[in-house]
Amino acid sequence: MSPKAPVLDVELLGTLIRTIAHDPELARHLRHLLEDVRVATNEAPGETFEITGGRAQGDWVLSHNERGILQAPSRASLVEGFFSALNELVLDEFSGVAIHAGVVARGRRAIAIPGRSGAGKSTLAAACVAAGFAYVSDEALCLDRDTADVIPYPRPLMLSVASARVLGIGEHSSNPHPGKFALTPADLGGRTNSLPLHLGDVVLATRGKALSLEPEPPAELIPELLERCFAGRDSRAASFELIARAAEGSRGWRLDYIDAIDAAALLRRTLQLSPPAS
Amino acid sequence: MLQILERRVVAAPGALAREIDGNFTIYDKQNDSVMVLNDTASAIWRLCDGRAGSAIAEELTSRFGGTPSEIERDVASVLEQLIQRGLLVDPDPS
Repeated sequence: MSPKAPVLDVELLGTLIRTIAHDPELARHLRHLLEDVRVATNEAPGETFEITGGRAQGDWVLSHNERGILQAPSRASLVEGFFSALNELVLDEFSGVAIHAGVVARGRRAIAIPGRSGAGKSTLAAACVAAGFAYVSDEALCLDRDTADVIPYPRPLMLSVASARVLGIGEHSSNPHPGKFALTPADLGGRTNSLPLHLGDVVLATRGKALSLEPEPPAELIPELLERCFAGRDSRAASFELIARAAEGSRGWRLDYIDAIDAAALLRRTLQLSPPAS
Repeated sequence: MLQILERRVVAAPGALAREIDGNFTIYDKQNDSVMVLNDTASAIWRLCDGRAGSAIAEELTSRFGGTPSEIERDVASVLEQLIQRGLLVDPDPS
């Protein structure tokens, strides 16, 4: 490793990770994307990613703990692969229960939008952030095993070019990279919530139907959340118990929508979020 | 179907029940499945403490009123479904 290589330490879901990017432009970009989870530490992180290459086309290499895990043809592709590897590592290390969901916050209440990959939860979460909700995660609703609190997992938002078009993010809507690209809540005019939350609302969203938001009995949320539970060292029964505990006192909603921006505006009105200060 | 009212029932050992906002959600460890009970089924589940189905029907009639025969039919229908799914069992299997 070059002695001058920029080092970036971050903490996500309690895992401390060091990233060393030798390309200065890429280092700046990652620093921007990970600003909300950056930490200053004297502790040696147990996990280290190192990114080399960038001098010639197609020579980007991503290593994890000194083992090469990805060779990428472009910086955009490398960044997508890096966040994918980071995601896998962090969720694998998480000691609580994680459920596929976009999550935003209103005060100390988390609003979870469970959904599978590709169901549009990142786009909806991004639209909610642009509408004034605080960002918690576009990937997972993470529940603390002991308290059932929602632990923020604010990795950068990962959006497709199609999502950028939906959200009207001009500079990215013509992005030549065919995969996903990363954005911060600040890039959308929003902010990140870094504090533990309680599960306030669960929104079961379906894309493709006329806009509506109807209350759903909280008990109906449990099967939906358990079905989308994808990480947890505990048994399914323990995950059920934790999810049920988190859902106590929360409200359920069934959202039908076509346009993510309209859906976010309806959620803001219905969940009584004050409009963002102008 | 009403014969089922003679059976005494309790929650099966593999049935984890949690009450949220008045309704029970039950996780079946055996089959890794979840069942959400409606108001009527939740009221019945709450009384499945080893008493017979007929005693559950009597208790619900005295609490909520209504026609005993209709309540007996409702209780029998719910018990049948829950027993079939293995969520309720006899407290003293012989």
